[in-house]
Amino acid sequence: MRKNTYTITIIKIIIFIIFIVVCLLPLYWLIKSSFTTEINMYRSPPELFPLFPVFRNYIKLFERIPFFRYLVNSLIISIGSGVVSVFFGFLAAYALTRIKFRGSNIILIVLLLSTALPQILTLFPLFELFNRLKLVNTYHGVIILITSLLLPFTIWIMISFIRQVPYEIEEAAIVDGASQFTIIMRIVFPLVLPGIASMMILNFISSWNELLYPLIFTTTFVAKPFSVALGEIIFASSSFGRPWDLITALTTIMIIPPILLIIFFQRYIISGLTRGSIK
Amino acid sequence: MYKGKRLVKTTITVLILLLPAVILRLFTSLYPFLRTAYISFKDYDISRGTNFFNGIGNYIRITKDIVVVNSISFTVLFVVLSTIGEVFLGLIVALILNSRSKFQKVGRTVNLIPWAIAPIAGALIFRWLFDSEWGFAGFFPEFITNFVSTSSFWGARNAVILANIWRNVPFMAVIFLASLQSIPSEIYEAAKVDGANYLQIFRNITIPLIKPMVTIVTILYIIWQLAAFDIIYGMTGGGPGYATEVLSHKVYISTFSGLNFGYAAAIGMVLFVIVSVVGIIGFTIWRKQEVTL
Repeated sequence: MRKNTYTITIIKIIIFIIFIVVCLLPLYWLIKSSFTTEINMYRSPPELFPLFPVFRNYIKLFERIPFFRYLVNSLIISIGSGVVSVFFGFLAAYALTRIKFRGSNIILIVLLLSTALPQILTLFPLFELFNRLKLVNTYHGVIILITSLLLPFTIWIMISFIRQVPYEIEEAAIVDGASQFTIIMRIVFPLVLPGIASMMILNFISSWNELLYPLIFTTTFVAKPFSVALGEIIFASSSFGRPWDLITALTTIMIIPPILLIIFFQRYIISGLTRGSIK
Repeated sequence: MYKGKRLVKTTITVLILLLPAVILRLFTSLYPFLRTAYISFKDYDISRGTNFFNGIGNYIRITKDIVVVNSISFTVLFVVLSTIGEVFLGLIVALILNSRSKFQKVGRTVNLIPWAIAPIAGALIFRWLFDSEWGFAGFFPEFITNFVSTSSFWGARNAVILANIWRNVPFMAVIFLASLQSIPSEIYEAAKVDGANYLQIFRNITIPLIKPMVTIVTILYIIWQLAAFDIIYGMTGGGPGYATEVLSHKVYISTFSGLNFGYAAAIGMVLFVIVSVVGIIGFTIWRKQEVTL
């Protein structure tokens, strides 16, 4: 019996190690390559560890593309979309949860159903429209689009956070003569702050990673974020074929912020992700 | 419910709170969808300079276009194989992360990493990893690298499916884990007292209790993955040839490279019909399950 549990523990540890390796090996390979000189990158079999790690790829990256512009663009778009989507999502979720009116269920269902619509179908008509409204290559244009993409899920999650606030608190405030907006901003908002934080982090990550809308709606460096820049470099060939030295360096930089957020705010992220699934 | 002044006040409040979100969402989903449906019946092609009503001409053309027909079949294959892999591995990872051990916290953080990095970044990482000449594949004999390589027909198909699974398992695992943890421990204890072994408990208690959650997540993932774009765009661009072309990417190419807006819209509508049919079937299955529980 004891020997049996011992074997099971060993098997569990082995499976766990395989799991960790599968998750992290692709990232190791990426980061390793980003510190390898261009010449050592293109050899077979490849080196497992960079024997002479170099920063040259990163320096080259700063020289070849408007790196800091892209960084600023990415940050503005992600923070903007995160804040705007959570703000409007919170207001809508409050109305759908706490005010009784006909059709509130239908509105929620329509919002959720709209997430099934493939994004690709919306691109051309929106591009026509945004072109006419001069919203292409602007921060607010991209932020509007990403916000609308994030809204249904944000509302869904915020509803479950708002439901947890005891209604008696609001009733007491009404008796004291507080207006509806005072109740929302002064009483409910502070009580759902953990939910707001979760959604801000989740939506920041989603916007940072979003490709399709920025790909179509930012055509110059003015508002182009990292995700689009990455796609661009892969299609630009160099004499060695694809410029993997630049690609691996830029990819490494691009994945750092989401990974840091996960390490520091794991609890918020998981509570946001799993909210919708627990009734 | 409300009367007179109160009704007016409540209506105004609801409108102020809801309208920004609802209008923004409809303006970026319903309006473009209707417009795409309309354009799909037009011969609207910038390179040929046409823009007139063409009936179902675009749809007839689709049935004869081998690239589109192939991309429909690969889209379906991509979604089916990915989803099977994701649900299976998602359950395994959830079980690994559910056991109480010191590593569990590290495991949960590591698990989230493939989910948190951008799909386009994931696509490029796997493109490099599976590069048949210079990638990690260089350590392995040829018959293994041929199985996943971005330069051969089936190799490229396997590669994009594997990369897609790698990215999507973590989210499934997180949801399944939450579902596992919502099962009250008394049920397990009662089963143990009755003398059930681990496998029996898993099959007769765990599986039935998490089944509704697994079903709904599976349906949602099937729907979302039917529209997969980033991974194909970053990893293969639909190639080699048209081996890994999926509908979303085909619409993108036809619109923004081909400039054949009418035809691209029709392909998009085919994707929409597929998503709708799958969605309706999926939710019917899910609701039946809810009732039987």
